[in-house]
Amino acid sequence: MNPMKGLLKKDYRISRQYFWIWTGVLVLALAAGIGLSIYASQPAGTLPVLVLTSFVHFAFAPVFMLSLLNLESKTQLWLYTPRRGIELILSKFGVIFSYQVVLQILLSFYAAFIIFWFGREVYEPISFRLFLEAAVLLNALLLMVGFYLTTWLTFLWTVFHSLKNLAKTIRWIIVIGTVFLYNIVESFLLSLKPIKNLINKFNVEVISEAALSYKDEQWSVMFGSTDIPVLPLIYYALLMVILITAASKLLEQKVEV
Amino acid sequence: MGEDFQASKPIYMQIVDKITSEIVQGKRQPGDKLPSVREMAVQMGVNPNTVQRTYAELERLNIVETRRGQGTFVSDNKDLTEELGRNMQDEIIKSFIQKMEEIGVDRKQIVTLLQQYLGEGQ
Amino acid sequence: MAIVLENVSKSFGKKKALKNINLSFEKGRIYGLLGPNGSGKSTMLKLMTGLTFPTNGTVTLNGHPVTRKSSEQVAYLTELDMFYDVFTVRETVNYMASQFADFNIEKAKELLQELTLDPTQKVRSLSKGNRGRLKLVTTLSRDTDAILLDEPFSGLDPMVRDSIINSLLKYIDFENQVLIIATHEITEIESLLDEAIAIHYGTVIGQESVETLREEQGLSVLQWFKQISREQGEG
Repeated sequence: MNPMKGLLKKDYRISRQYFWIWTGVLVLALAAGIGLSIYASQPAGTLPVLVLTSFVHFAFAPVFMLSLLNLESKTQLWLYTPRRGIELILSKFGVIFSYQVVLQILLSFYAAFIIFWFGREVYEPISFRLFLEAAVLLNALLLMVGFYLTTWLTFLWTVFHSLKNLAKTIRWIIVIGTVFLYNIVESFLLSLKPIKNLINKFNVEVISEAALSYKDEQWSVMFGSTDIPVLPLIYYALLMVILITAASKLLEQKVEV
Repeated sequence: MGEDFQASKPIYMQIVDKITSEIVQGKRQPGDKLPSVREMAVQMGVNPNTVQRTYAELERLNIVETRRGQGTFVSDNKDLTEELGRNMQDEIIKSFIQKMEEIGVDRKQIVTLLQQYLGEGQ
Repeated sequence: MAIVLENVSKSFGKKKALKNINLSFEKGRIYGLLGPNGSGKSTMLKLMTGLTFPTNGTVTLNGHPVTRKSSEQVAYLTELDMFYDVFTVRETVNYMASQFADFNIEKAKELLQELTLDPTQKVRSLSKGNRGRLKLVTTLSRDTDAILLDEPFSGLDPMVRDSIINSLLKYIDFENQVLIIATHEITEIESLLDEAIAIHYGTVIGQESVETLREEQGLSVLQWFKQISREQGEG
């Protein structure tokens, strides 16, 4: 077995159980959404469930990453390795990514099910093509935000564990301070006029929202669209690459557990 | 590992003594092959370097001989067992007399005491 | 092959775990790092595997500074657990084999059999003694330049200790490996050692050849250790 395969297999193995638990809870929640909607004779009741469960999945990847990192920090096994830091991190990213894709496919099927069948009377009718477009974009957004947060989390985790020489409170202050500082810098940059103009230069239009409306004693669902600027996407992708690279270097050269 | 070693004597010498005594008791015959260094180390629970030193010492004392590519053997010398036996007897008697003298028993008394003791023993 | 520590210090916050250590370890010899719990033995071994890095000074392996990559050449057994609980014994061995190119799977199989470990058993359900044995299997199965064992006997009953010492003597490649054992249980390993190094509050307070100690001073390692620790306390 080659080393990378070994790593991946190990990461699947140690996280499999958590994944099944998460999936189980999700399926229960989705089923409850349908059950309650039938009970209340309001098929649109499935929308809040869909929105809520989807929303929770912004946190899926970071929460999963944190629990895996903490599991690894309990033993020396993860760091006692000739593998490069980037391999160690990407293996975990890969595993979590695959889990997230499975979960999002599940959510997308649920959405299709409630829009085109279970709630077809109350959801604004849209073409299947439009649905697909929206689904792809929303899923991409969910994945991107999830992994953006995960990248930050991984980076901050390595920062925290690189500072073993310092007291815990100081380590926390540095970690929180880093986030704070970055946000100040980011907001400052965004407040600059030339940057604002640049950001809004290239946009793509996507379906981004669904809203409930109440008419003739019946809730129904409307869809709306927004423009997404392209440049920030490129910026965030770059930032992620930088954070992951930094995290790998720290993991190789500084992290002690 | 089954061996306990005294603190005051090098371990390699204690193993020399052990092997010598086994030859005197006939547990190891002239011409017998000794275990390899590693096997002996495992049996005794000691460092292989120690066993190496033991074998070197035994060889220096002409108790064993190393045959190239075959291993270490108890010297094929008929007088060896007898000689080693005598040496051991001498040593035991010497230390016995020394200890008796230390507690103020003179040689004459030693002989008498020994005769008495052995007589009673029968 | 040698591991060399030169003027090595290591601090954790204000606490100094190691102070100005100078030591070198040669292949073909077995060293004992002896000292009470918390004396800095574990930190020293971690420095040699690249799990932790010196605050000052240098640690080198065959002349190159130790990094995480050095784990390729150093087999290390921690005093802590080093398994994933969800793995079986076999999965643990296979995982180690996938990560270390020098892992000798045949040796591992022999060792498993000899130490009577069931490959299908879950690590989670192993007894403490069997966990100790499994650690030894994964460490000794590697054909490395150096083997570092941190408290390999702690908490194990005498039967397990004997079987571990037995396997140790049987499976190390004596001419080509350096073996370093850190322990506070001196009597257990006394007869295994070439060289004893006494550590006291992060400093080396003595280094002696075990046989020379007996020959010239008539002392066992334990007696010697007690003597120099006492002198430290007085001085």
